[in-house]
Amino acid sequence: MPGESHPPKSSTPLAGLGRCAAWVLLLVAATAAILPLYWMTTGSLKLQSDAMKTPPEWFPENPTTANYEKLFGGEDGGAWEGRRPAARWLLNSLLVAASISFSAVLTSALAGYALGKLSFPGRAVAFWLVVATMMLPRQVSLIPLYLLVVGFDWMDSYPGLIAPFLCYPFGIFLVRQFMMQVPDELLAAARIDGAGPWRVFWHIVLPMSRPALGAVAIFSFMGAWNEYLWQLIVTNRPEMYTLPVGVSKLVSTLSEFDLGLAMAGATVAFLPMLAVFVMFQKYFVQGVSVGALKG
Amino acid sequence: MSSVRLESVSKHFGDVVAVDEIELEVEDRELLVLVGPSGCGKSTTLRMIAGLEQPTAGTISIGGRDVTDVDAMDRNIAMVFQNYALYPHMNVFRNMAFGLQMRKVAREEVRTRVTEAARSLGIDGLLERRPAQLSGGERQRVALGRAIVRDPEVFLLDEPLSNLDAKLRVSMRSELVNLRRGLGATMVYVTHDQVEAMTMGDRIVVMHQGRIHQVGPPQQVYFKPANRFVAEFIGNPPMNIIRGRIENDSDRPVLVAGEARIPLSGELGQAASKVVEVDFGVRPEDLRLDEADGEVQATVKGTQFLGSEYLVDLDLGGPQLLARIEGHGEFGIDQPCRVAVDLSRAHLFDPETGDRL
Ligand SMILES: Nc1ncnc2c1ncn2[C@@H]1O[C@H](COP(=O)(O)OP(=O)(O)OP(=O)(O)O)[C@@H](O)[C@H]1O
Ligand SMILES: [Mg+2]
Repeated sequence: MPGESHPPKSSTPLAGLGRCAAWVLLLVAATAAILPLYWMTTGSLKLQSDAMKTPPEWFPENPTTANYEKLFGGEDGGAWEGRRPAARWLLNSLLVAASISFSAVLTSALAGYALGKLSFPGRAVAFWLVVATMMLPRQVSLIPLYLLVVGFDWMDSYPGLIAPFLCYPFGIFLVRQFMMQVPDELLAAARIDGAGPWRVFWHIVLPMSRPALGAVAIFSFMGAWNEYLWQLIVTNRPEMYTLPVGVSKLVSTLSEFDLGLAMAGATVAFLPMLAVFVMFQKYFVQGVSVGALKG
Repeated sequence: MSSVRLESVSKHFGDVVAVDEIELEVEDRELLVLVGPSGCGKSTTLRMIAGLEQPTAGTISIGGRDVTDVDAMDRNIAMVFQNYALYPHMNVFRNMAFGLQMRKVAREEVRTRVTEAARSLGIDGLLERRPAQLSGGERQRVALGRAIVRDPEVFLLDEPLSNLDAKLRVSMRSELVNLRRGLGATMVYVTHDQVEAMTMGDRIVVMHQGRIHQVGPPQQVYFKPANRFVAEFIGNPPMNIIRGRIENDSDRPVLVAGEARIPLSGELGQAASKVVEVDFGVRPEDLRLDEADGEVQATVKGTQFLGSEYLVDLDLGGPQLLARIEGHGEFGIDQPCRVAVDLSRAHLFDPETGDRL
């Protein structure tokens, strides 16, 4: 493959030492990051009695799927009888996050193109307005949004969960910065080749912005998945809960705190994110280092 | 018919006057070269012909059709950019095919036209590659190929060779000339390199500060520059210019500058008789070191050996001149010598307006 480069081999012992230190540091950091996840996943496979043991049990001695059965509406101790609530919650979460992510990519791409590559009066003002909304703390818009959703009669509905997040200001910002680096000559060349603004967008700008759009897809998906507060506010009926809301309510309604069940819920909530991240990881890394558009 | 016509076209960017009321006619099948120093408005002129820039005033027509308000996508032109502007996410084939696809040309025909153009440019082996996997020269060919497949009315080229190394530039230059002869196409070619302009152009347009200073065949621009700017810009090394006074020496006008006295005669003498202050211009190759005929006293200040010729710095007792002397010779530094000036090739310019007298 052209463009692939190999790092120079460390020749001196000192350089080797530095390399060693870097590895150790990375190992420590990685362990610190992974340990809670390990504790969560293994905890979800333990019985309540094993989970609360001191000293802690580092490896589940009696692994069990009981927590997951409970979560997905098994007979014994199922929270809402006759249903499989966690499955529904998972679906709700996926549907909400996927819709938001899709819409965020679409609107960011369109707005980013307009703000980054088309010239029209008021462009600068529009851009700064978008940036300004990024500065607003979430809490400020919570009550107005709530009133709006109540007004539309969207409580306990998918529109209520999704609509406030159809546009993603940070995504617009990211995509605009990225698209600005697409050289104007390229767009001029496409125009001369007979492409109108839409085709220039579709055939040139969009494919060249894939890294940024991938990053927007991930960021918005993660944001939507973790939008706990809003989802808590607009849902009252259990079948409209999202996974984080459902799990927390399930755990808190039980008479006795069930650590294993909480861990299982957290694990189920975590896995889709992991999947999305692995799938789009390439774009994620490229998107974070916005720039470096090679000609 | 694919002539191009610009009628009192101007382009302002805010307060900047990039192009100032230019009149220009590119004839059918002509290669017209726009040349001038950086920032003189060459690219802006080309971009207006392309439809990428809307003129502030004036009209542009292509092939007799007024296209002033026609968008770039609907003008049947092709453009080659200085940095090639290849689509980085498409391979060479798709880069070349894009323009045809946008114009809804049938699939089979796209394939034949692209392969044909690629073969004529010697890039038929690269069709699967991405631009990032090509050398500068290969990218250049792809950019040309992308223009050729379109079979446009007019080709516009903006410094297409300036990113190539010197050797490749010379070979691409002649290749481009041959290619164009085969296509029989109308071309407008922008460059800041006067050698490129001289060697390639049917006619040359010399621009400076948004204005056209002279239009004509290379020989005319070289031998009969319209003004001092053109005289100095075209030619390498540039023309010597001496500011001086005209005095009359026994019926014969003489240019006096410092201690130098250059007798003028012929046409030059007649022109000189009407003025007092004047800029005298003579090209380095129109000076000879000649003990017998030389009428001007000078001192050799230095020499540069170029192989087939020498560049000799001369001091005329005030004014400095550069002479280009063919063949081999011995030049004693700081030695006096006599210089003969080929007056039939020298020029006088008005010191105020710069116009040739
Ligand atoms: N988009 C623009 N906005 C403002 N000024 C511009 C713009 N484009 C060009 N100019 C100005 O117009 C003038 C002519 O520019 P132009 O690009 O035509 O020069 P050029 O002859 O092509 O120079 P070069 O040889 O450096 O490419 C310059 O002074 C330039 O600064
Ligand atoms: Mg230019």
